[in-house]
Amino acid sequence: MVSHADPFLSGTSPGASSGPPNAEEMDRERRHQISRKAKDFLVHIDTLGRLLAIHDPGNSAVQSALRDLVQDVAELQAGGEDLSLVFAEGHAFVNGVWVRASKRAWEAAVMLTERLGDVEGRGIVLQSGAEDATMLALTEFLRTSPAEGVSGAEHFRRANLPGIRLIPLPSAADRARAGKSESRDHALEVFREGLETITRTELANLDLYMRRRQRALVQQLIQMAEETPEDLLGLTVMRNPTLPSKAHNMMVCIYAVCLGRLMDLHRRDLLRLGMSALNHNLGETLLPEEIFASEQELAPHERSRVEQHPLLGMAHLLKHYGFGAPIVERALASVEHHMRFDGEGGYPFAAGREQHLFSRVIAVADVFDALCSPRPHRDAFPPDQAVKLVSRQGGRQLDPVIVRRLLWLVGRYPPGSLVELDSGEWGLVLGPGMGAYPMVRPRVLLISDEDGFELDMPLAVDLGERHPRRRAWLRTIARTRDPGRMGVNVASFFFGDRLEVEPGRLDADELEAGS
Amino acid sequence: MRGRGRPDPQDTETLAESLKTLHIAMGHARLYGASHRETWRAMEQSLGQMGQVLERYGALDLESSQEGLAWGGSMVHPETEEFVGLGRLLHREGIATLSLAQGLDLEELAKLLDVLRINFELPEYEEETLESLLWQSGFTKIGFQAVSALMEAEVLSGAASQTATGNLDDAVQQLVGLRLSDFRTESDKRNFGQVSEDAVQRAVAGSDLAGLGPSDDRRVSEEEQQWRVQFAEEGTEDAHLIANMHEAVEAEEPHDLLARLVSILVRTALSNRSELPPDEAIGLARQAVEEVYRRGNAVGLVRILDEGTALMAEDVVRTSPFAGRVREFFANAISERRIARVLLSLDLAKAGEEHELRRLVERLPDSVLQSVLESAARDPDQARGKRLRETLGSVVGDRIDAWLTNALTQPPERVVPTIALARSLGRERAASSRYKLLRHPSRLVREEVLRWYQDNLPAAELQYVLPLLVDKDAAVRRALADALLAQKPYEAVKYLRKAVGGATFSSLDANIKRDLCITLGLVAGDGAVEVLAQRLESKGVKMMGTAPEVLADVEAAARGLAAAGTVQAKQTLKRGTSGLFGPKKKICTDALQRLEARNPW
Repeated sequence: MVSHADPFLSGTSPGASSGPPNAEEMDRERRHQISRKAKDFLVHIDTLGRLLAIHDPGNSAVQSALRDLVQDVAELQAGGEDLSLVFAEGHAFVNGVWVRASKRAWEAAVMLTERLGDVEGRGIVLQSGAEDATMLALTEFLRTSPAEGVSGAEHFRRANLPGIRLIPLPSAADRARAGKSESRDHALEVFREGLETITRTELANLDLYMRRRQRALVQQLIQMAEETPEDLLGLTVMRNPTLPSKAHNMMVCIYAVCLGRLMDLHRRDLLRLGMSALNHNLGETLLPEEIFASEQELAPHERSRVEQHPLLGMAHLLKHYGFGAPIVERALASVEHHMRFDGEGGYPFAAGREQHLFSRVIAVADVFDALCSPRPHRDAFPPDQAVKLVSRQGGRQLDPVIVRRLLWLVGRYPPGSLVELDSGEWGLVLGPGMGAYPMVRPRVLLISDEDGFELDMPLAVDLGERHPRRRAWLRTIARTRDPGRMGVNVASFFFGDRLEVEPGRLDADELEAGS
Repeated sequence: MRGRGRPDPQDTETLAESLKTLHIAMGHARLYGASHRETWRAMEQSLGQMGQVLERYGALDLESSQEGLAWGGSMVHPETEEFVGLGRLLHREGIATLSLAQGLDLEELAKLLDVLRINFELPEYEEETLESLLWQSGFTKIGFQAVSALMEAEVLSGAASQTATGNLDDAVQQLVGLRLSDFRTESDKRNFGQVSEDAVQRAVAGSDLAGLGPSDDRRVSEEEQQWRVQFAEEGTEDAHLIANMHEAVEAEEPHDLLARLVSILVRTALSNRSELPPDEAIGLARQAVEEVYRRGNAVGLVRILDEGTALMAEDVVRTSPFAGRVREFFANAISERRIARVLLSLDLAKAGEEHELRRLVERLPDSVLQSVLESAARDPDQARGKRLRETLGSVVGDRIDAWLTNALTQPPERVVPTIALARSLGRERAASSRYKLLRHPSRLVREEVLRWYQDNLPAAELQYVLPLLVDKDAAVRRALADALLAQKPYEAVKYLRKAVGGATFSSLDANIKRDLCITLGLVAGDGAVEVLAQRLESKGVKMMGTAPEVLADVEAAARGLAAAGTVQAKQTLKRGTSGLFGPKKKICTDALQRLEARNPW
């Protein structure tokens, strides 16, 4: 007999007001407050500027408007942090919050965009504790244009505004760098920005601003996977103990996105997958850092703590961010990414069901990247060996279909593999070749000549290339080496200058001709 | 085709008209969805006009601003604070330009309207933006230009309130740092082939020793052959598996994720993990179920109940000390009131939902189902309520018979819809025991059962039915009259004649007497005239001092004759109008009017 008492009606829900507010609600409230106060600020600074155009600073109306403005600033700086206001195309951003302005505030934002543009600025940072005089001076400064022949920066300097910093417009060099959209430089830039994003992102405290940044990062990675997949996959060679440990999350995200692309997932689903991958290890941030800093193999009690991170991550997300689909998806990735495909292992709560596809993809990416990365207690496995180890786990720990996708993605010799060729040359694998056997005959960046001497300019060649007159291939991999142990800085070769050589006679051409 | 110069005024006007219609489509899409016929009609009209312009120019770049949408410098859709349209919306969301290319079709336009609808519905705190929604859609004929400066500005303004991240740049720089060889002399160059023997040994020890042999096809190593075969086979083998995965993810709904989550949380509770104790796990699972209810999702409930059923069958439940809690959780997950609401919100016309409904109904306990039926009966959308009742009926089957057996003590709100359902389904077993419900204290139930008798009235059940001719409730008596009129059983006519002609007739309540006579008249026609005429000519009627009950007998008889409506009945009534006694004359005159109007009641 079913009880008529309905716990779902009387119990607490994520949105119920009876319990303490969760992180999502607090963030929303914070943003709402900032947005509301920022609109007041915009209106008041505009009003003050207009009043100063017709009255002296001592006028009571001016003083009243000034008091309002100072009050706004004080409230916006309530946490004691600096106040950052950036303007673009008439939109205003205040401490990372996009202020969706009303008409009046909008006009003020447009005015400020223009005024700051006049002094080659796109925003200002107000340090906490701004005084009335400073705010008055700032308003005065904003309503006056620089004198003829005086640069914006100089005009700002002359205004002498203590506690106020001008955020300059991007320089020509900045713009030029941003314009290199399809180059490896761009890939590197994405990597650097991505690292910054996930490093700044306190994973356990994902406010909307950070989630938007993460989303933008994943969007960029997907875009790269569509346009320059070799460059994207090339980023996975950027492994080094000097990088923050969260770089692993980015690597997993890159592999996951690439695997998703190989599975023909749509952009929407790739974005879901990428976001889940980026946050799959959230639970680790809730554990003491010392555990991960250990240079020894983990002790049993430490291991059991680390094994808690999947559930910790899931619980944290659900408790603080509710049960919206994106959060549930990430919670599932967090809890399932260490579950074994065959259902064995130490996760009794996982028994009886298959992991979500995203979790299976993330699991493969996670294991592969972990093997390729150095750990405090062990060296990294060379990529070609890691791929062999992963392939052996297909059907056991990992989904065999996804493992095979990984093999298709990285090939027998994943990007970054150091290979010695039968010609005596040494090279680094760049990615799948263009010949008949792209996975076993990849594109290689030659870094030494036949005698083993380092080349001035590395040379990209395709191992599917035949000898011009004979049936034999020009080059074949004789053996692989461990770049770590050989002291080869893979990243510097990948992202340095190189020469590209068009292959002459590819084995694939012969196959086509034969068929 | 014209270039992208200043557009022709005529084309500008056509485009303005098209955009006006597109806004109507946007409004419809927001209310009814992008695939609604009204939306579709407006889109067709808009695209028709837009197509002409697209044909001439190849592509349209619509620039957004606070003022509206502009094309080639001309405002084609002006907007104000009061009238916010696409221009303001795009501008507000940081989309500077929306480009439409020749070949744009209705499907893609509908997709755009859907994206805009989703954007309208996004709460402010949602991480998705219009830009990311447009990006994900992967349009082929619709392009957009986001204001890149916005993202940069957001990052910049956010960075000021964040702490510094240390020397990240240094680490990256170190990784990709300039290669020393660029600055070294020829003699400094590194020789990879001449590293120390130790280094080689170490590298070899930690690496793959296999080697692939010389570069001759005929002498390719065994390993390369194996890998080649592996790579050649896998592509075809996995194709259908991947297609299935792909489809599954694409079709995935939030409730699928929630059901999966509930399963994991419940299993976590059973396994008693210290990092998420059973109480907390169950609490989170409860909130996940709450979310399914909030979304009004029957499919999600089915999934959760499926999980529950599967889990209960597992050994882990029998051995866990928390099994009782889990069992209680699943029992409480079925909330009668809320499930009814969820079921009513189902769109049964949608493919798949009826299937899920059936699966859910099969799992629900009787009390919940009856509650659902009750709600369906009260549904203001009658067509939807009817559809749901029909679907429920086709699923519940035999369970209805059992419900009716126990219905005597159930409230009428629950029993009446069940009777209606059993009747509409023609449940024979339930019909054979329906007479028991004639004793139900609620008139609504008795009435509903009598309506059922309109379909068939077995002679054996007349003994239970006919006593209701003197039921205290008029509606019940009338429902019985309708049933008897529909079936006209001879035994009923006999019974009625006896009742009207009998000595106890006069002692009955006036209303009951009237209804008895009307029923007799309706059912028996001419066969009723004789006995009714006798009552009309009652000897108790006197010029002076006629007892009220006698007058009531006369009135009842007159109404019965009016109900009979035959020539003979009419003549009898006419005779009654020609007498000297005023009240009787009036009664008969009124009855004649009723007869003419065929208004027996």
